[in-house]
Amino acid sequence: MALPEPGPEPKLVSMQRPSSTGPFLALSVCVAALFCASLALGSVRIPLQEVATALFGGHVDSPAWAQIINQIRLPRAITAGLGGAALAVSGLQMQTLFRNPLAGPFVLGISAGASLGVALVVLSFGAGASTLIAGLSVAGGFGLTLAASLGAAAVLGLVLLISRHVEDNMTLLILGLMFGYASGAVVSVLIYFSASNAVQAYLIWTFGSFSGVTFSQLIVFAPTAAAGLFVAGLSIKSLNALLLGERYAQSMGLSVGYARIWILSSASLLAGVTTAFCGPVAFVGIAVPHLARSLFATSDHRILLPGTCLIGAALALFADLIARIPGSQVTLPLNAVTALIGAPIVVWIVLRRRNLRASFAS
Amino acid sequence: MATLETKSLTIGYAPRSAAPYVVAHNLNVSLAEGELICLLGPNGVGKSTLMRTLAGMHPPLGGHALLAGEDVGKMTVRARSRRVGVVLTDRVDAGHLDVRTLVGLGRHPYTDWIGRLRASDHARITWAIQAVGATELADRPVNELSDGERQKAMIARALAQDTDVILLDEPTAFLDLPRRVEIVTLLLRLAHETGKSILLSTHDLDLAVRNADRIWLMSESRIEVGVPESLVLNGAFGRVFERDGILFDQQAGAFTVAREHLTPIVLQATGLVGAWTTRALERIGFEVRPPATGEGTDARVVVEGDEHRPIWRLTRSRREDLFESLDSLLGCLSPGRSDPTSKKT
Repeated sequence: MALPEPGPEPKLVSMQRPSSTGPFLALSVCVAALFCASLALGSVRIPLQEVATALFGGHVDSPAWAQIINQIRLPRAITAGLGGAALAVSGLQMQTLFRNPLAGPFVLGISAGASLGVALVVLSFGAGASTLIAGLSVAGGFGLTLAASLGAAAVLGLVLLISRHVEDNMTLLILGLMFGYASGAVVSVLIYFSASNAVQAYLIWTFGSFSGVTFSQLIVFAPTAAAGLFVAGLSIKSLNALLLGERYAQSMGLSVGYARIWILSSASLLAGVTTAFCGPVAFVGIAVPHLARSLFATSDHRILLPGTCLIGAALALFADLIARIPGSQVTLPLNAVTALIGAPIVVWIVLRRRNLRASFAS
Repeated sequence: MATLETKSLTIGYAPRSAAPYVVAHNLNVSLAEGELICLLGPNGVGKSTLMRTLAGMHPPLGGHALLAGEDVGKMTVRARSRRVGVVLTDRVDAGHLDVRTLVGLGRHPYTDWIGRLRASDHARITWAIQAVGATELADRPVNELSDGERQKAMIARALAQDTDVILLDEPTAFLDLPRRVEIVTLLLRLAHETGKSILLSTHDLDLAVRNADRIWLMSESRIEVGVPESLVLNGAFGRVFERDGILFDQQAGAFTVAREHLTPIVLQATGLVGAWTTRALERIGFEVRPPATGEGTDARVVVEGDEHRPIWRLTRSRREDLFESLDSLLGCLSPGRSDPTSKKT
């Protein structure tokens, strides 16, 4: 068989692949709708007309309504959308980097570090700090955020430092796990010796919540999360190369060491900043990448990463909406809701598509 | 001109806390344009280490590996990836990728920041898939392919990478014989028709001897280079591979198990039937002799009839038996394998 060198572009019918425009469009509409619902629904019933008016700065009958929409629901919806996207993308990066379906944003101990930071502040400063936090004042909220940020940043720094000396990803994964156990142990000891109100303040933080973020905090959270998502976007090509394993990736021109640092940095930044502002929100980071793979039936990160972003945002907005039980004064712990509504969705999709295993065939 | 050569290359490992462990030293070999070379050697002799060193994935302990005259170790990862592609033993679990996307990953060194494929990239991918004869697989998901098909896709990926040199580390390890033959002849054709230099490490001696342009025969201390036939003739294969009880049969170009206390038997036969009768008799412990040297041998087999309906005439201890199949001949001969002639028939 003769093998002519590639000449002018032949007709390539087979390069037409199933379009992913449809799912993307549907997901975007879904996110937009949930975002609007998140603004419109809450413990206080506000007419839709008034919601729109308040958003665009028009005159609203009740000043309280304008306050609720602009100061509470809007930052909360933005936080939920961004936070969900951040955790989901972080999880996707970790799963691809470690080639492990059970990896997630917190697999390297980011949330353990944040928890340790918060626990140190809440539990060791005892009642003084906890009254501050119990009131959920701006200062108290920021104090927790700062503690969580410092904890997450410390772990992030440690991970990056170790990753420069550890060649093997599996070793890194195990070190991360061990670090998580160690900090969990310190937290347990702190809890054991703490007053019950301090323990409760800490526990409430561990439930996770998108509602604690005010506009003044959003100014920090949103750009940081956006920057993390941007860097994650730059890692798309590396992630695709890593699908074949590190050795192949290297042979195809990827500087595996650098790529790993970029991927770990953005994934940890996304997980860390979200945990700092919203607490350790579970489930989204592990489940959403699987949902995206099932939905788009591809491992190509050029499609998966934006897809994961949208699904993460949608799932977090939806979970937040359910957690606040519109029309009532009750709110549920966010983590309970993400898992309760997320698990059945994942079970349903995985059983229906039966292709989860294919993503990580052994 | 050599697309890949080594100059006094020493390969091995240099642990931080221990003395360097040298796998092989002072290697001087070269790979020419359009050439298929098979790298052979016993397990643990350092074939994979050599492959990884040549691919720039592992630093040499000394000397140089040169790609078109340029030191592999001094090139950037990206520059290297445009010169040498690899196919590894690793089973690839790429998840939801179709073959075309997998092959497209080979364009990694040439694409933009997000890996977008231009028309020229697509043309190269189509060509690579066609070159390995996998056109009908192009839209199949990689995880549904058989091992052989998957390895073809990985070779297409290496082709799409558009390098002068392709290194394959035991790419046929998990494949059945027909698939191995298919892959090796495919590589031979690619080397000759596209001018790429292909180095293939394998344990399949027979395939290597039949297909390689030259062979690098790696032993504990060095690499012997030559066309396959001359390495057979000069006994190099025997020296490198022979172990207790395993002998290299120069006539057959294959390994045989050494047997002791063989019973001689004379075989008078020709052609295909003769060849396989010889193998059968040797397998059950006879030393087969041609009629001319059979003086004093008690047992004798003569094949009569034509190729399609052969008849085996067994004469021993003044008795004659006729057999219509090898099965019944062996059934008669083998029960007393240590002393077949003592068996009553």
